[in-house]
Amino acid sequence: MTDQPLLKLEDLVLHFKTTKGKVQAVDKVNFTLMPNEAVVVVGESGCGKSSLAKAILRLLPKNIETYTGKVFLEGEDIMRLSDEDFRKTVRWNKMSMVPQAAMNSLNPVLRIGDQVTEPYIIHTGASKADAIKQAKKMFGYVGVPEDFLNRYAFELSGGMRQRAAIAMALITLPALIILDEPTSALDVLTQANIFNVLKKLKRELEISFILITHDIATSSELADKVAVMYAGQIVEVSEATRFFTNALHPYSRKLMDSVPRLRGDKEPDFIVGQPPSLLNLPTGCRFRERCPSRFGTCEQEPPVVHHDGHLVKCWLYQDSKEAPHD
Amino acid sequence: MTEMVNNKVVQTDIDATLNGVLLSIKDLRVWFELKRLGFANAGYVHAVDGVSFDVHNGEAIAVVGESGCGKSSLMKTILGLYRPTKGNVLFDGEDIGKMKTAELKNYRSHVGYIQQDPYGAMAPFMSIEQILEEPMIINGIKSKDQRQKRLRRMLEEVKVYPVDDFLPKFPHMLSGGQQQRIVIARSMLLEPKFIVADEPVSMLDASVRVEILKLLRGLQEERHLAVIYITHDLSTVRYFSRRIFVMYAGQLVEKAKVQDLLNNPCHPYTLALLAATSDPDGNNAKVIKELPPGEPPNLITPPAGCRFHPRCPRLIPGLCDKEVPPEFEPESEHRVACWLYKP
Amino acid sequence: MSLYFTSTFDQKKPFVGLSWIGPDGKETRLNNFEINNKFTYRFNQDDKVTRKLGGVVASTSLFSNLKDPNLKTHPTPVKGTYYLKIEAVTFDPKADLQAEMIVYGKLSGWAGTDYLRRDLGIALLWGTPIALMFGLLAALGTSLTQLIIAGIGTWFGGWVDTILQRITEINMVLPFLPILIMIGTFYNRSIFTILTAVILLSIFGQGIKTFRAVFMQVKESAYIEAARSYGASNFRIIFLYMIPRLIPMLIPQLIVLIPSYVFLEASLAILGLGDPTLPTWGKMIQDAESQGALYQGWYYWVLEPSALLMVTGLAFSVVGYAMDRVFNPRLRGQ
Repeated sequence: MTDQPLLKLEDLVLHFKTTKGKVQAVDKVNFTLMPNEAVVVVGESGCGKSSLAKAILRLLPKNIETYTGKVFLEGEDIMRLSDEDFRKTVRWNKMSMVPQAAMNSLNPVLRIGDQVTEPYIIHTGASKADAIKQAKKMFGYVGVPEDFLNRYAFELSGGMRQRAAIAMALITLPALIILDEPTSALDVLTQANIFNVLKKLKRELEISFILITHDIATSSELADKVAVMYAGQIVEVSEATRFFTNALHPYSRKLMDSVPRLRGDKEPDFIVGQPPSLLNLPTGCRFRERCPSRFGTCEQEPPVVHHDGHLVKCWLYQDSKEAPHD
Repeated sequence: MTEMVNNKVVQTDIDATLNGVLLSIKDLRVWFELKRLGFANAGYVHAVDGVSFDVHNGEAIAVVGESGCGKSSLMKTILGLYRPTKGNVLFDGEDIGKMKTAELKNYRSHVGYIQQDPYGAMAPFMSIEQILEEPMIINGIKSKDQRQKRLRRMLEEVKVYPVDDFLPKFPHMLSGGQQQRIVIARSMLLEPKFIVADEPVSMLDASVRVEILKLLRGLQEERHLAVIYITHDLSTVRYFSRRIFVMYAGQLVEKAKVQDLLNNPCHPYTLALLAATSDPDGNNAKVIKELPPGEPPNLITPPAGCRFHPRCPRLIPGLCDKEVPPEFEPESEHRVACWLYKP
Repeated sequence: MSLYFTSTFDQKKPFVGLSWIGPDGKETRLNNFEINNKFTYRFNQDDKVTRKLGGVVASTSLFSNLKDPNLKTHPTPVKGTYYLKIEAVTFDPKADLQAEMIVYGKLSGWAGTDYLRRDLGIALLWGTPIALMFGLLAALGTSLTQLIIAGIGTWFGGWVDTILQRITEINMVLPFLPILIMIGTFYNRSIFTILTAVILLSIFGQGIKTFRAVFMQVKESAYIEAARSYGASNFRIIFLYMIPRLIPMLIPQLIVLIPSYVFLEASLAILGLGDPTLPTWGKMIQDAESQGALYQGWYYWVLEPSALLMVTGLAFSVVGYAMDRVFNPRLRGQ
């Protein structure tokens, strides 16, 4: 039985033009997401992961230099759609997003109910009453009391606001929700609660998620697959348990080493240096400068290979089969 | 610090280095008055409501709790930025609450303060050099030479070099990690006896956090500084403190050495915090965690009895909701304010 | 036409006799008088001379043929060289006397002339530094003081803040222009009095509220808390930590405020309350209006100072808004 991937990115490129030069935020990214699967994209700040979300959803600023590649959603290349068609058929219809600091991006002068129902009304043309019914259903899924529909954003706690933002992304029952740092500003109990909500949604509504975060520890709460992003490129993709026990790419390993653990035996280690600026990328392997295992060939850009169930972009595994590039 | 031996957390530092109580908090209460119409009293926010603990010279302690539990107010009172409503904060035996402005200023020069937001903690229009000179100018170090010597030495200790490159820069030109190093350097310039660090790494990237925490730990050990480390992230506490206090709704619900807390957590809230803290493990995604429902209580009218009782999975009806639990000591130096541990 | 005398003497004032010699060589005695330290003789105000010269004012009659039948209606100047003879007697050994004669009026100038044949160009130029000075000093004085008051009030809070806010509110309700008119009418119309009054009345104005709003935000910043924790005094925090944050806001606001004060001074002058000794643009308009310039067809007299006022306003506004974009990068757009 062939499961068609829900989302397939092929050589997705997004470069920005700024007064300081060209920012190569997303540089030939390839990955696949199956239905009802959660992929976590981890990386440090400045690696381009937020830009990746924007590239997928075509939420672009005006200063684009390059925006190419293919994005197959349920088999159809949505990069070919016009902006208007994209807006009508894809965005908030099949894919939606909970942006970074969503809880702060709720409109302070509108009631929560008005905001959450808005995408539903726009995309389905439903009446306000029907939209409110749908909103109440969504609130039930995320665990927000129904009467909060009449409240304003400032009356809710951070955790509740984040749940409301998730309900807003959910209201049109998309197949895929992208979450950008959903819990970074929240307390640990609230964080755990939000992840419980996401796990429930995945189980009950069979939604796929792309979770973008720099927090590896909490990402393990949702991840089926982990993709590591560095300097605009994906350097490793593997199934979650495999990743957390034995990551392959030297950067992934360093990231895992730097996580402080509650239960574990090693003291965490840090990575020397800083990621390269997306304005000024080195040639060859972009992690070369900070990599403890670098050697001569690393001056050329490494290929993406299959190794032991992982996809890795690293010369250390060059003897493995090169990953198919279709 | 701690290590894992046979799956148990073990303390590796020597208790014998501790001597003398530097800071003693006794039944501290910090209440903020709510005013109606600008002058009528409308109740109090009981931000800190009965907190007692001691900090020894050279000891690192962690205060853990979620937002709204009062840890910020506790810390600001210790810093002398708020006045205690009731209770005492004794520094080297002297009560801060009774100090006059000049004495308070002197006290503050003995405490270093590291804030959560490294960029916000520095005046954006001042150069690094000016930022570092300010505390010294204010506290009477008149010779420019002396100030320069100190700040250069401090910058090297926090590993910001070459020093001359950084001095004329402005805060927005530095990375988060570098900014926090400057803030740490600034806090140590007056050779304080203890440091209060309020979530010093939570706004930094995950990979930089460990670096900064290790730096802080190194400085603490070298200078034999007492540190009060305030955080909501339990996973970092292990590497950084000797004792840990768990705070909820203005009160300390559990106090223990780190190894004891991790091996034998007692209070249901502590258990919830530990359960909610994830380690990267592929199995996590398959489990829906059991968490206490609801949210931390309103500090204007906190619940009667034990403040955690409305959310507690092990509530004893008739007791927990009526009577405030005193501290019990299930093992040596491990105190819990919970009726479950009544002997 | 005037003669300005300055003299120094011990006890007795010098005595002066004036005579006029026309191109025909005839000498006419004008007048004799005593001189003080400073004395101004205005030819046109000397009735004795006017009567002597056939009832026509000196500045015309001294240059005309007195037998001309059209002397009173269409006087024709007689060209030639004229002499003014000043005979002076001093009574002290060290006494001294200086005299300077000023003849007003050109026939024409690049900006035209007014009813007294004074060159408008000179008046316009004279008015420029006055207008700018008034505008700049008023705007600067007001804004800086407002900044400091707002800073102090916001930082200390409590009753200090309450009192300052109430004073501001009451002051904002007071009628600004009527008060200035009263001061001008009953007290003193010197430009420095008006300037001081304007500044004093403007200090507790809208600016305080605007600055206070921003100060309230700045007050909560983390670095201010840090400063308190390392012992910075209240005034140090206000002046070295809070006020510098407002400078980017202050400067564009200040620049845009300058023309308002320029217009205010002009308005007061047009109402007749300006400084009577200074040729400001407003005064020129007022002169024009009192001479019925628009009815007489002398449009340029009104248009020139008005144009300068507009250009000044425009210039400062444009610079001010440009500076706003410099200081507030968010306004720059993409």
